[in-house]
Amino acid sequence: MGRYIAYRLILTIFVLLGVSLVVFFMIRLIPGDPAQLLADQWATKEDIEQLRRDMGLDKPITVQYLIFMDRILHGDLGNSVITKVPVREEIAARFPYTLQLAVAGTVIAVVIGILAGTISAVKPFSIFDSTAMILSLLGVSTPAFWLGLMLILAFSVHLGWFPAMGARTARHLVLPSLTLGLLTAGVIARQSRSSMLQTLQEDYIVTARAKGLLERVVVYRHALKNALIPVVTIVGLQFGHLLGGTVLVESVFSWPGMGRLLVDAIFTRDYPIIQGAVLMFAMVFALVNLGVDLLYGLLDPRIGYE
Amino acid sequence: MARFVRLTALAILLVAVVVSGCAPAATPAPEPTPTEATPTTQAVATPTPQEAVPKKGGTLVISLGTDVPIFDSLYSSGIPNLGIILLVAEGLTRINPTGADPKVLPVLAESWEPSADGETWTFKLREGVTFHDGTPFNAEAVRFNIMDRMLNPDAKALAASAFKMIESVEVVDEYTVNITTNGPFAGLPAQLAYSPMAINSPTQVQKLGNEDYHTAPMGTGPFKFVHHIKGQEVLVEANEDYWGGAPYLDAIAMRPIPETASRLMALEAGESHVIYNVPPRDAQRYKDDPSLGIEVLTPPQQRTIFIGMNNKWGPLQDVRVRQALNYAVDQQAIIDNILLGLTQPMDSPLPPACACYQSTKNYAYDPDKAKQLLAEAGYADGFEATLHYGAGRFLLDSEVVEAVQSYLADVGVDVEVIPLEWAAFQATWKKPLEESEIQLFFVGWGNPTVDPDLGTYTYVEASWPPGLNAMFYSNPDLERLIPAQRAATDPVERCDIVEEIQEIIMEDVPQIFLYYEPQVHAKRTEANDVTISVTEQIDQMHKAWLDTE
Repeated sequence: MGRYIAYRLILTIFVLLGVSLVVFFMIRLIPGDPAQLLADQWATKEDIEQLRRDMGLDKPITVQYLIFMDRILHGDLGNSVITKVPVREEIAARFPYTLQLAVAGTVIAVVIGILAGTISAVKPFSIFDSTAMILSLLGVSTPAFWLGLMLILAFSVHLGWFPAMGARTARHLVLPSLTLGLLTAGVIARQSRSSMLQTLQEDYIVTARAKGLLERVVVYRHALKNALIPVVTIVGLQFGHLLGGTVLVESVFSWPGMGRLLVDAIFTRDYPIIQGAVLMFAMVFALVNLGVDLLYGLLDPRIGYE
Repeated sequence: MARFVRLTALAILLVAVVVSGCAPAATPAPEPTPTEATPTTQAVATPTPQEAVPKKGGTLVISLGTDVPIFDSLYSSGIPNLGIILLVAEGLTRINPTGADPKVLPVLAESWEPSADGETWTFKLREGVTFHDGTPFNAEAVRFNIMDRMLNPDAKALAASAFKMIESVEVVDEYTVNITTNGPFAGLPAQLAYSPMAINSPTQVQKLGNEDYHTAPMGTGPFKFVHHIKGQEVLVEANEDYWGGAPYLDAIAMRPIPETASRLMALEAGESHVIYNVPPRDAQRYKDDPSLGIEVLTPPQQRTIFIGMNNKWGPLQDVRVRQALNYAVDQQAIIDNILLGLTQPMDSPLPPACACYQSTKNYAYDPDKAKQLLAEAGYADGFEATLHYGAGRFLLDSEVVEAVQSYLADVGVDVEVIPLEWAAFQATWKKPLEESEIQLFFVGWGNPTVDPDLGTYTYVEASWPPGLNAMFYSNPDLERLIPAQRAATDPVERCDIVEEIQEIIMEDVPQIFLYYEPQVHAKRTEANDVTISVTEQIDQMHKAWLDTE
């Protein structure tokens, strides 16, 4: 197990190297130049060139990459070319908010999703099943943006129960995490249902029933654990996505997370911030996936890691 | 069931633990005592009487669409954002918020006058002012901020180019400075109002260095810096010793809300008292329904919105074609139907609030005349052209561009619209002539100093891209007159020249003149005496007050 983790972590380093290479060159290939965007009305050609020199963008692109890699190996992501603030600080200010939102959203999604999916599978084609599956279809297809605005309209503007914007208290977390949770629950519910339905057909379930076990015990003790493996994969993927910052939900709720940091940086072509944020996402995603793979072993001891 | 719950919890916990290893536990920022702004009808039923007595106390919440990039005017950008920084660190002068005369008002400088040769301006400074850290404000502080900070190449100030005409700052005595420019510069007092030139405590700058100064900025302003939580909140508190009188408010919080719909809802829910950039349709809704308790603010405009024409490209080289396109577009209909009458047609290259502005000529809608002029120029059958723009940058830009496209189609000019993201548009737009693919482009020019110097200099050949003159327009008379207005320190003489400049430009029509971009903002009625200036910045906020219990 230890060897497996070490192996995966080493793989992650190569993934990050690849990501850094792609992101570094890609953002420089799209048109746009931070110096040009910042230059005010008085700036002449020389002024803009001076700005580019100040930003370190006048050097050949390969040299810039080597400088970037050299810094990264020293644990330095560089500074924003605009505000000159270290990228590390910018990310440290944002990531906790993203993590908060991702965890809260995932918890809501998992609780609703697995519960709804399991009950639907146990009583397939019942009223509950049809309702749950229609709702989950709605969840999958509703734009986050719209749901967020509707929640604000109902719970902030009309009822005044929860704040509409910002991330200052725990109450601020309710509406954005509910938005994320409701939308993600749909996928999880559908996955849980189909996986559970399949598991309930297995021979050992028939055996368990034949033994005269209570249906509750059959479903929750024997079936659920085995049905969860594909669900955990989906949850892991969704969680990874949420950790990448959820630009739309963050925008609607003025949530100061990573998604907005990245989008703002793209608009201003703040290359170091974009690079730092994308690398962070890649790393988090790789780690979440590793976590998911380790969870399989817990759910099914037959899965080994060698 | 219990086991199921345990399992689910375990699964979540495990995933959470894996990732929480790479970030500190998320702790919500402390709640900075927001104003209790539960929407009540009380503020609505009785509109505040004219003679209302200002109340002390409360935190006013302002929401812009973007956060202040960094709380140091040296490295910050975005004019409204810089306005938030000015709450803490003021400039020497400010632009009259109403756009009326006099255009430039005193702040830390009390008075100013030019030397006979126009190359040196003497500024008398306000006495007895101290920075928030106790450092006295004086001539040396002014010299330090201009020469050792803004113009110091090592400081890498973003707006240094706006002040490069300054050659030296001489400390005459404790409260007098002489600012010498490289040639006469009539617009210097207005230029110094440009917000990156805020005056900061030299002691504090030297203590923290330019890199860290933003963590504890010290100015002379009506409010003192408390904190800046990135993407979330700038908080400033009243400076009870402000030289202009203690503010009524306890504090001002700027909480950015990027999404327009969310910004409107925050205002309606009472979470923000003042919001920027309200779509005209919502402004109309607020005006129509007073029970919402929301007042629309429409300060004077300073930004010109137009379709630039590449004066070196094909048919657009002919002035008759350029005039024809101006006659072809119904500015007033665009203003009435898209912008709901919130602005006026552009009848000068300068905004009405600008010194020496003259309503010069308006190409009122006349499609027949447009067709006739096109025929005279040999384009009776029209022609094809592209139109680039940065979608989403300016108020209702896509709608306006679409309208222009259809007006031009009516006179036979077939326009292909190419929307780009703003940064990509900038890269396309600011290419030098030999590489430029630009034919028509929709854009707006800000004039943050509301002075004819900036508003006219964009029309000289030296401003060709990467400068703003992407029309590649030049006129030998302007090459002479525009530098002449810069040198004319006598206001009357200067305006005579500027008038002539406006006439030439309106005759040459390097652009399809559209309108001045309306400023549409809104505030809750309980927020009183909130001024948003022609410069798009909040102004005189020590006079603002909240009418809440």
